[in-house]
Formats: sequence, C-alpha cells, structure tokens
Amino acid sequence: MFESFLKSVLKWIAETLLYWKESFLRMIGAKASDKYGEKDNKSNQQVALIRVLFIILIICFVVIIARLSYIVSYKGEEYKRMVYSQRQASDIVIPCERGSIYDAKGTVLASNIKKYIVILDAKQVMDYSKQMGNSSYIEATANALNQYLGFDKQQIIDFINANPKDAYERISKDENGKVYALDTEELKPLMSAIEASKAKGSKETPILGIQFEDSYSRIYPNGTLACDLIGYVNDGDEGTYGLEQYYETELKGINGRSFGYINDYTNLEKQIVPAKNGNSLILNVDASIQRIVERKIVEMNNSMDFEDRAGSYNTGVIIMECDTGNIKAMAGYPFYDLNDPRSVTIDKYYSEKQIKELMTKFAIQEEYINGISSNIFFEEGKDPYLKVLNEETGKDEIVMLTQEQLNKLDDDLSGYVRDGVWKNFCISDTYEPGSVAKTITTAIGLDSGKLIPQDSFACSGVIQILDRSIHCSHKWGCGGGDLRMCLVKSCNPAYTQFGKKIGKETFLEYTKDFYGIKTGIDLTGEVSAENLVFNEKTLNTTELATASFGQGFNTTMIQMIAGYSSLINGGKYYEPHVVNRIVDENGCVIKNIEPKLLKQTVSETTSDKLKDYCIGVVEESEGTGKKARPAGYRIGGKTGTAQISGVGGYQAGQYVVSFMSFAPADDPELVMYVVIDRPNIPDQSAGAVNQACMLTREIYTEVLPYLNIPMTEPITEAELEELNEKGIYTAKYVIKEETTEVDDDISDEMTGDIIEPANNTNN
Amino acid sequence: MREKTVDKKSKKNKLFSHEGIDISIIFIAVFLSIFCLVFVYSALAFEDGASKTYLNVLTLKFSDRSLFKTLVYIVIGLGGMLAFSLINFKELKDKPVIGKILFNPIPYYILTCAMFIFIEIMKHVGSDVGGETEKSALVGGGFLLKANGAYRWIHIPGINFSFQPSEVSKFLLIICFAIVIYNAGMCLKHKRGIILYLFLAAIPSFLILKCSSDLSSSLVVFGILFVMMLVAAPDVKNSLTVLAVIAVIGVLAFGFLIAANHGKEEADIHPYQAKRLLAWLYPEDYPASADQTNQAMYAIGSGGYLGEGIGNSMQKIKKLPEAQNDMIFALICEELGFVGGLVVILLYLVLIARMYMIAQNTDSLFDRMIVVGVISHVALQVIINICVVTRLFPNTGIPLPLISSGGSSILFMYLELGLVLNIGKSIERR
Repeated sequence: MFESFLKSVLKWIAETLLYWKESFLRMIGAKASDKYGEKDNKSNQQVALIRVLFIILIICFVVIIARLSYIVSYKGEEYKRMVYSQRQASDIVIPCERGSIYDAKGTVLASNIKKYIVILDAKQVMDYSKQMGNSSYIEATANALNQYLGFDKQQIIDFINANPKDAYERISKDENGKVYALDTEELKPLMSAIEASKAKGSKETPILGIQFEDSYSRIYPNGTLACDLIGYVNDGDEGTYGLEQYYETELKGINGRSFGYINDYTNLEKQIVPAKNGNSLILNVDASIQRIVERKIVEMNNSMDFEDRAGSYNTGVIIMECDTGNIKAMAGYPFYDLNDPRSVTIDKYYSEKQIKELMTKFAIQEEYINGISSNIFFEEGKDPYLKVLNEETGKDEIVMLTQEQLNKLDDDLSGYVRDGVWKNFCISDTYEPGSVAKTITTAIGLDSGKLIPQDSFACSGVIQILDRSIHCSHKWGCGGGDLRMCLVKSCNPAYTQFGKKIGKETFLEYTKDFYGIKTGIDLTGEVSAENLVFNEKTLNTTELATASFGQGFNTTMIQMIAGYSSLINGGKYYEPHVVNRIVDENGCVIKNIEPKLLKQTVSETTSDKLKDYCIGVVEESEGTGKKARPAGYRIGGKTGTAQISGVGGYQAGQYVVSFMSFAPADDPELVMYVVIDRPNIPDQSAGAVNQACMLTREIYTEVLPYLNIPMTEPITEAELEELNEKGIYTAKYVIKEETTEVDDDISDEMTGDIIEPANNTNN
Repeated sequence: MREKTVDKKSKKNKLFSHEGIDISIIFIAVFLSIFCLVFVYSALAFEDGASKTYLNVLTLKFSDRSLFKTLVYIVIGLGGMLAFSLINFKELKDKPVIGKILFNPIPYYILTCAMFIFIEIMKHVGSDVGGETEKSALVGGGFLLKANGAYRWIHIPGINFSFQPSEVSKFLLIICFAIVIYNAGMCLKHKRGIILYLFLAAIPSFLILKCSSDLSSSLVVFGILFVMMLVAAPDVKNSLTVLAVIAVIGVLAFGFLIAANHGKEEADIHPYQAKRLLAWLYPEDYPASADQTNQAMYAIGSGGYLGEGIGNSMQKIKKLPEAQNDMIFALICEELGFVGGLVVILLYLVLIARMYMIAQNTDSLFDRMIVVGVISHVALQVIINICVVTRLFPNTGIPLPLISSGGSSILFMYLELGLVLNIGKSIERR
C-alpha cells in the first residue's frame, strides 16, 4: 500500500522532471516544439484575454480618476490649509543684535558678544550612516561631542537613533532644559576637528550633523560701573531696570527671518529679511567721571565702619550739567555686577546683625510672630527660634521655626535685597530732603517778594510751633542774622518763620514745580512721591513750618537736583537726561536728544541772589558746608541733614545727610548732589553731614581738573601736597599763607533732634 | 489583413523601412516627454544658486543639469525608438550569427542575471570611494552608486555614467520571455509548464530584490512576465489556478506582516515594507512613514481642479520628496490641477489603446508577446505609481513611465516603444 503510493509519487516526480527538462529545452529553443498560437496565425483565446486585460485596465483607470476627483472635491480645502500651515513652520529666525551703550567719550558700557548654540542634525548623520551601511558616523559625531564639549556619548547616540528625521535640535542645554550658548573659544577645538575630519584625504570618519547657530549674549565690560544707571538684560533678553528697560524698544532690534517663496520665474527665492540690529545709545554720562564718583563712594563707605554693617544704607551721587540737564554721572551705592545680577545675595550686602533684624521684620510681616515675642532668637549651633508666651503658665515657650517658614523668610530676604540693590537709589528711593530744601524756600520767598534779603531772625536755639518745638542745629542758638546768614548757618527756627511769611498759598504754588512730580528722566523706575508730599489740605501751620526747612515730606534725589539746578542757572528747569543721542548700527544719528526746557521756576535775579547765598554756605566761616570746598576752586552749596521718619515718628539717631553743590561758583557748570543714607559713624546727629561734604570735596577735587575747569583760588601747601598725591597736576597756582583754621564743631549742622514734641523740650 | 499585400512582401527584403509606423504612439510619447521636461524642471528649479555660465555643463545649477541630462536621454531614447522601429528584425533573423544571438533567450537572461550578480559581488569586494552628492555615494570600487541604502545603480568609472540595471532588465526580460513563450508552445498548457516558466521568471525577480533591495521593481518584473504568461498559456483554467494560489500566498504574507508588526513602535518595525504597509492602512498611527504619501495627497488636494499654475507648486519645496521622480504625478496635479492629471491619465490610456490595437492585430505570437509585455510594463507602472500618490496602494517607489526623471527608465521605455512600433508596421490598419 505504502510502497505503491511511494512508487506513484516517485513516478510523478520523475515525470515532472522529465516534463520540465523537455519543456526547458524547448523554451530555450534547443528543441523544436509545436507552436501554439501561430498555427492559426491568431489565437482567438489570446485576443480575448488581451481584451479582458484591457477592460480591467480601463476599470483601474476609472477608479484612479474617481479617487483623484474625490481628493480634489472633498479634501481640497483641508489639504490646501495643510500646505500653508506647513510652510509657516519652516521659517528660520535670524537673531538680531541688541544695541550697545556708549558713554559720551565712546567708552563701551554695554555690548554683545557672539556665542553659538550647538545644533545636532540627527537626520544628516542617520541618512549618511544608513547610506553607507554602518553606524560609525553616529559614533564619530557622538565621540566628537563627548570629547570636546563633554556631552554624554550614549545619550547622543540614543537621540540620533530615536529621532532619525530631526534635522534641528538644540543640544546645548542645562539640566532645566534652558538653551545656553557657548563662546568661540570653547568651540574652536570642535570646529577644527570637524573641518579636519571632512578634509580631502582625511583618514578619520567625517564628523557630521553638528552645526552652530549664532546667538548674542550681553556683556558689560566695566562690570559694576554705572550699574544702577544701565540696568541689565534678563534671561528672556529683556532689559530690566535703568536704560536697558527704558530704551528697550530702541535697543532691542527686530529678529530677521529666512524663508522661501516662489517668485514669478518659478524659482524658490530664499528670501532673507535681515535682522534689524538694535540702535545704540550714546550717553551724556562720562565713564571717567562715573568711575571717579563710584570709587570715591566706595572709599567713603569703607571709611565709615563704626558698626558691623556697610558704610551706609545707600549712597547716591548725581552730577548734572547745570545748563542742559545732562546727567554726567549717577551712582547709587551699593553696586552690583551687571554681568551677573543674580549674584546679589543677602550675605554680600548686609551684616549678620542686619539680617537678623530684617528676618524679624519679615517674620512680623508674615505673621509668624504673634506679638508676644518680638524677636527671633539666634544662638550658636541652634536653629532660629521664637519665644511665645504661654498664657496658662505665664512662661515663655520656645517655638522653633519650621523649615517652610525659614524658606519663606529666605525668599523674602533675597527678594528684598535684590530689589534694593538693583533699583536706582537716585530716582526710586524717597526720603525727607532736610535743609537742602531751604534753598528752595529761600528762592520762593525772594521770587514772590514775600521775603527780602534784609529779613532777619534772631535764633535762640529752639522755637515752639503749636505742639512742636523746632531746634536749631546749634544747641544754644546760632544767633541768626539776615536771610543769607540764616541759610549759611542753616537755622531751622528762622525758616519756620520765613515759611510763615511766605504763606501757604504762595508756598504751595511754587513748590508744585519742585516736589511730588516726576522729572521725566529717561530711566525706568522714577517715582513721583506725589502721595508723600503735602497738599492744600495737609499743609497746616506745623507742616508749613517743617516743610520750609525740608522735613515732613518726601522727594527723590533727581527731583531735588533738577529743582536746585534751576535755582542756580537762572530759573530754567531742564528735564534731566541720560541719553545724548540714539544712533543706528552704522553710527548714523537717528535721534538727537536736545536739552529740554520745561519751565521757568524763579527769576534770574532770585537765582543770582541764591547763588551768592550758597557760595556763602561754603565760604563763610560759620557756613555749614565749609568742608566741601575742593582745593583751588570756589563752589557753592547747601548741606542737609534730615531725620528719618518710620514706625512711630522720627527714628532716633538715624539721619539722611546730603550736600547739594554747584561748581565753579562764578559760572556754574556742574551741579552735584550727594546723599548718604544713615552713615555708619559713631554719632550720626553730630557732624554726619561732614561725610557728605567730604565726599563732595573728594569728587570735585578730581572731576573739576578732569573737565579742564581752571583753578581760580590760591591753594595751601597741604592742599598742593594732597593734589600731588592724587596725581593732579596744576601749573598755575598761588601758595596761600597757612592760616590756622578754627576747628569749631559748632559749624556742624546738627547737634540733636530737629523736631520734637513740645513737652519733651522742657526736660 | 490576414493576407499580406504584395507591397509589403517586396519591402520585406529591406533592412530599414518606415512604412506603416503608428505616428500617434510617437506623438503621445513626445507629449509625455514634454510633460517630463516641464515638470522635472519645475520640481528642481526652486533650488537657489544661479548658473555661472551656459557653456560649461558642470557649473550649471542642479535643476538645469537635470533638465539637460533628461533632455539628452529623451533625444537618445527617441533616436533609439526610431532606429528600433525602422530596423527590419525579420531580416536579421535569417542572418547566421546575429539571428542566432538575437532570437535566443539565453543571452538576454544571462545578461540580466549577470548585472545583478555583478552588483552583489562588488558590494562585498569593492572598497568605498566616497560621497558623490548629498544623497548618494560611490561604493564597490567605484562601480556602484548607492542611494538611500540601496544599490540600484551601476556606475561606469571614467565617463561618470550610471544606469539602473532594473530598468534594463525589464527591457531584456520582455524580449527574453517573449522568445521563451514563442519557443515553449504547448509546454505552457500544463501546470508543470507554467510552474517552470514562473520559476524561470522568479530568478531574475529574486535577484533584483536581493541584490539591489528593490522590491517594487522586482514585483513589476514578475508582474510583466506573469501577464505575458497569462495571455499566452493555452489553458486559462490552469493559469488562473496558479494566479489564485499566488494571490492567496501574497495576501497571507501581507496579513502576517501586518499582524506581526501592528501595535509596535514605528521605529521598531522591520522590514521597512511592513512599516509602509501599516502606514497605508493606519496613516494616523505611523506619521513618519505615512508622511510622503500625505504630502503627495496635500499636493493633489491643494491643486484643485485647475491647479496653481506651472511652477507654482508649494509642496515641491522641501516637503514633497522625489517630486521629480516617483511623486511627479502629485506635482502635475498640484500645478495643473485635476485636469492636468486627467490629461496625463488619458494620454497613457490612448498610448495603451494604440498598443492594444497592435497586440490584437499582429500575426506572430512572438510579436504579440512583446507588445503585451510592453503594455503590461506601462500599465503596471502607471497604475501603481498613481495609486501610491493617491494612497490606493502602500507606498513604493515606481517611476511614472516617460515622465519621471530617471534616465534609464526613459531610455528603455523608448526602446520598448520602438519595438512595438516595429511590430506595428507589419499589421495593416483598416
């Protein structure tokens, strides 16, 4: 049975093989065969089959046409949209360069450097390695990135394998996925390695798919110089604070684009809309003066080291051109590095004691302290804790601050310090101006005719104004004198009377030109202090009396200097300006910023008188600003010492001292305002204002010769020595006879609180 | 028609004759070539960079160079077609040596197989020479041109000329198997004969697939030869049975591929044919693989009925890959709209109809087989190509006859048409 089956199978195989052999021989023409289809010349069957095939073919074509018309009729709109939406995505952005900032002499204050973002073109690597059939290209790319830039090799290989179609991936990223750029120095070895591997005759595997995209990064070559003035550029390439923010639209520029479109000649035009680089700013500020100012500020602050804290809370200096409103220098201590604004940390700027105070302050704000314990206690080796009174036992209980609360306090602190350091003290901080405001009061009196130079006052040291007693700086009275002498001696009681004479209406009418308005300076962050100034309702007898000598209301430094400048230059109130002109990338001037005269504050005769009075402040033997006179020059000015208002009235022993001055005296060119907020000296009430005067003197001593303003006054041997020490050379000088100066501390403005509640004075 | 005229007989002795040439086929071919030139140029001309001079071909920009190259191939092809149509092959058959060689299937067969075996050998033996362009590289000791990971070109070093053996093989195999069928006669009546025939046809198809990893060409070649057999086999029942068996096997293989790979991550699917198959069935799930077809559909759809105008295609710019080649029909539809596409399809239909007339009316089995081979070559490529761009078929790279830019494809299609014209001379029109 099986055998016969096997036999039949074998037979069938043999037959098949034989058939195949015979057929094969026939097919290749080795043997003749009975031709089919040619016997009757035309096989009807073949013709029929061809016809069937032709019909099938026509059916296929009909189906295709139906499909085409379906796509066109029903999907046309949708697909057209797809086509256009795909187009938009393929544009490439060309980064523009932010405008630079130059000082008046062309010194670069802010500029950009070109950096490169590393792009991985996985598609190119993958295509090439697929084509060549080995993965050594992927390996080579990953190796190069690993060797020169320290990328993880396996990560690169995985990325290429996972995204074979991705032709554009920014791979220079930090842990948070933020793209960063590398500078040329870092990339040089990689660039040359790529070039070498692709060179003709190179034995190495070519490194493919690494590209570099341009990007610009802001640098400030001078670091901290003019930091408050310039501001910085944040991570989002937006200007923050200062000029960078105020002139953001000018500086920013417009990113370019590169995209393709089909022109009339059916070519793809690679249309490049070039990047429009930002315009540059040329400042009125002179970097050399700015540098002198900042150096002097730091020196002054370093010299004031009574307590464990910085030399002052803030020190602001503005130098302005008297006849134009151009800012020559503006500095607000403390400074920070513009190249690394994030490095502002609390430990750098505040002492431990201050930090503890601030922590307590914020703990109260955050309501961690419930009023029983008013302090956070810090002990060695212990976490900060609070003491809370247990009402049942009547004893203090120790409550530890939770980690969460500590973190919150830390956040508050760093936010506080950053805001404080970044903002510009000269325009953003308000304070009570103190005696400097007497110049404005005097000018108002003279200009309105309510005061005449002969008006006099006999000072006995204190005067009662309703419930207040107003002290003179000389405890037992300065003696007073005429208007000029009252200004020179800075007599507070006298000014209460002068204020009264001027009267509320006139005072209000004139002061609205000076206080509580924005000057319009071209810097971000100027405050108007509008709500911190008296008005018709609040200006009563006491307020008028105190406002006359500069207490009881707030101003900013820039308001004071702009107002004072108008008193000196003949009554012209100029808008203070930092930027001189705006130029485009090729240096063509786009906009010239001319001095802008805003208003006439006082008459020229008033101005002349006031100038004379202010010169007296420095020159008279009883003048409060004697110490401000620089060697070889005549200047005028006015001192100011103001109490600081805080929680529960004026703060004991805390003063803002200031000195407003102009130079040279005969033909004023510069106005300078120096403000030191809480100088770190043993007794702020006595002689603190001398710090401001000395700072003024130090700055003038170097700035005036720098500006080639000739010395007019004889100088003493000691002064000559000092000048030589500072490297200031003066060819024409007269040695003055050395006179022994009466070193009377009485000439210092302050000897105690200015304003006190009346009942206290009787003690 | 059955009896030949006296005139014809007397002319039979001449080596060349132009009498009775079907002019309409030549016209259609020229029309299609004009389409080819216009759209190949349109597809590439957007590349930026201007020509420096018109005298030196090497400094021309890529689009101009392609246009020039295509034009040269078309001119050579037209010349070849005319030469082939004029030569009197019947005369050659009687010559002692040439006749023996020309009318013997073995040289054609061996030549075809030799090309692919050469590729296979050079792949392993020859050293890589280096990159030729962005997309292709010279490998195999300079004898092979490699693009997209496949070895589809043989390159002749020295004269910088390369051709596609798969296109050549279609031409050679049509002649070869026409002779085989002519010789086989009644051998094809039985299933065994059919299987032997298909086995012979499968060897070169397999070589194309194996050596130049070109599945689509391999299928087209096998398809052409299969259709020729289908027409020639004396017993339709047998050939249809074989067709059914092959269809079942094919469907099962596809089903298996889909079942095995569906649900996998796109990047993990191998071979790439399975990826394309799945992308065809589920375009949303496999966006990367479906992208090419999607872009082609966007092109067709956005063209509307009348098109954007010649040269105004948006899709050709960086979006539609191979716009001058496999995807040229989508480009035509975008620039000339539905109407343009219809015209192209109708031109092909008329071309095929003319050849159909010749196939119907020719006397000789050999002649008929050649015409059927050419018809099926044109028809298969047109149908597959257009079906791919309209997503009726899975994505596969088949050029559109005479319109796509490939030089070998154009040249040998012209030569095939030359053979058909030659055959057409011998029939008498009503």
